[in-house]
Amino acid sequence: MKNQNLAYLMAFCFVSAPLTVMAGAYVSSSGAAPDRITHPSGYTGSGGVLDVTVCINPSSESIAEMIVSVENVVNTFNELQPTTGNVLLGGSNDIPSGAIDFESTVLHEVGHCIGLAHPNLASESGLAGADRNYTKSDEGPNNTFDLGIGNDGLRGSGDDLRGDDINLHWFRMSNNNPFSIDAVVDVSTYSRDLDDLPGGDTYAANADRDVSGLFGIPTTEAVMQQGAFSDEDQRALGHDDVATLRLGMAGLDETQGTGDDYTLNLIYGGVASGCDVTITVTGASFAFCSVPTTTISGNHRRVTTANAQFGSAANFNWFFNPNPNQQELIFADGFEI
Amino acid sequence: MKYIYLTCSLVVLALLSGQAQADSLLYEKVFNQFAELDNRMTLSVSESGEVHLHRPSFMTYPGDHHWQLDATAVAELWAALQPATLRELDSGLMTQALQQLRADTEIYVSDSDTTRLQLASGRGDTHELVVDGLQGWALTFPQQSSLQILAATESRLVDWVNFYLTREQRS
Repeated sequence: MKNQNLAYLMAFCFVSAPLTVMAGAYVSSSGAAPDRITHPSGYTGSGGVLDVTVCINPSSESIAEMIVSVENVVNTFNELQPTTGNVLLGGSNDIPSGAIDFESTVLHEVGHCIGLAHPNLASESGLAGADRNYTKSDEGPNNTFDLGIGNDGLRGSGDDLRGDDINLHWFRMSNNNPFSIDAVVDVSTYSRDLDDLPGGDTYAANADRDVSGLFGIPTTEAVMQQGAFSDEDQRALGHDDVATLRLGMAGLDETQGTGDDYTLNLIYGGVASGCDVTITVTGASFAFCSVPTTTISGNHRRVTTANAQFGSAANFNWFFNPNPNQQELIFADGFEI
Repeated sequence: MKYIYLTCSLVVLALLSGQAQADSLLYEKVFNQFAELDNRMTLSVSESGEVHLHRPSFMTYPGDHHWQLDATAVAELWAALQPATLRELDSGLMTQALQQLRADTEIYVSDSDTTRLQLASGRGDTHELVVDGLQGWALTFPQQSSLQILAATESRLVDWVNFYLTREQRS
């Protein structure tokens, strides 16, 4: 037995490279397919209201504690309201010191579950520390990330020097400002092609909290930016989050105001199975969403069914927000709206 | 009597499952979604049963913990971990298989934690397994037995840690 194990050891033992996952501002984009746009579950190219059900797994832990947070996240995506100042730390929020806000984490993961990727390079790049804040890209022909910080000394800003890295982040052509949004969000106003950047800019800026200071909009960050802190409330979408969703909502022709446009309508389906997005609290991983996609046509893909999982409250110091973000209005006749 | 029989069985099982080649272990889990400097849980168990644990501030039971296992507890741990089975796993091959599956299925798993499990024998040889997004990929590809084994091992290890932490808190 010992000899057999030793043989296995000699044959198989080595240090492997971590698994990397490449994706862009949409989960299915990559260097090979940079223009791919990922739509939420159920979109086939027909316009109208796109219902996406979000449910809590009946076998999940902490069901009672999480319901308000999940309902709040559904409301937040449906309101699709871009905000500034959406990073609330320490005494500015209701989260106990050292705790992690469950609702903020669910908002981020459900964003993945409906097709959004990190706007920054994030951990899937294999890079460490602050270099993960550079804008989402593929390594390009030289197979390495080119990470020139530029004169402003900020990673992820418009003056970064990124060599042959293939940009995967859609930016607003008029100003490359991810803390703003155009009235029209489609390929007439947003681009992934660096040739469409405003004069003087060298790379797409992402909605990182440090970059927000450059634009005079501090304590603001895209919800989809990877890089969370404990005692941090980020329960409202940023402009970049909304713009990326709205670009998808412009449909297969990527043009707003045409027949294939859709309106995203998340529906909280309660504690149930078989929904488009299923949320489970269990285990030792912090949080992830498993997002399978399938082709609609051309560069357009859609999520099939997504599973978001959050670590057990036995392992993580979650704060479950008890306060609904949408008040039910009840009229004197007893009917709600 | 029943307890003695159970203990003996576990010790024998541990020996059969390769304890002799896995006298110590190091387990790390890096929570990549956190930008905080301290985003890593580490657990080490020495040959003599000395346990050192660090949990970052956002976990339950944060901070550094230390406790000593007796011989029975060490044997039980190895019996639960089945090191001989773990030594047959190869994270390089697992990673390759995953990359192929991802290419075939176009599945994305967000915000992967990094799991590192290192087994070392008394002779100084080590076997290391490193996988990004272990639990996410295990959930996504239930037919991948290597992933399932490693994910289940990680879960058992974390449950084992929580058992001791809960006991420590009670005492």
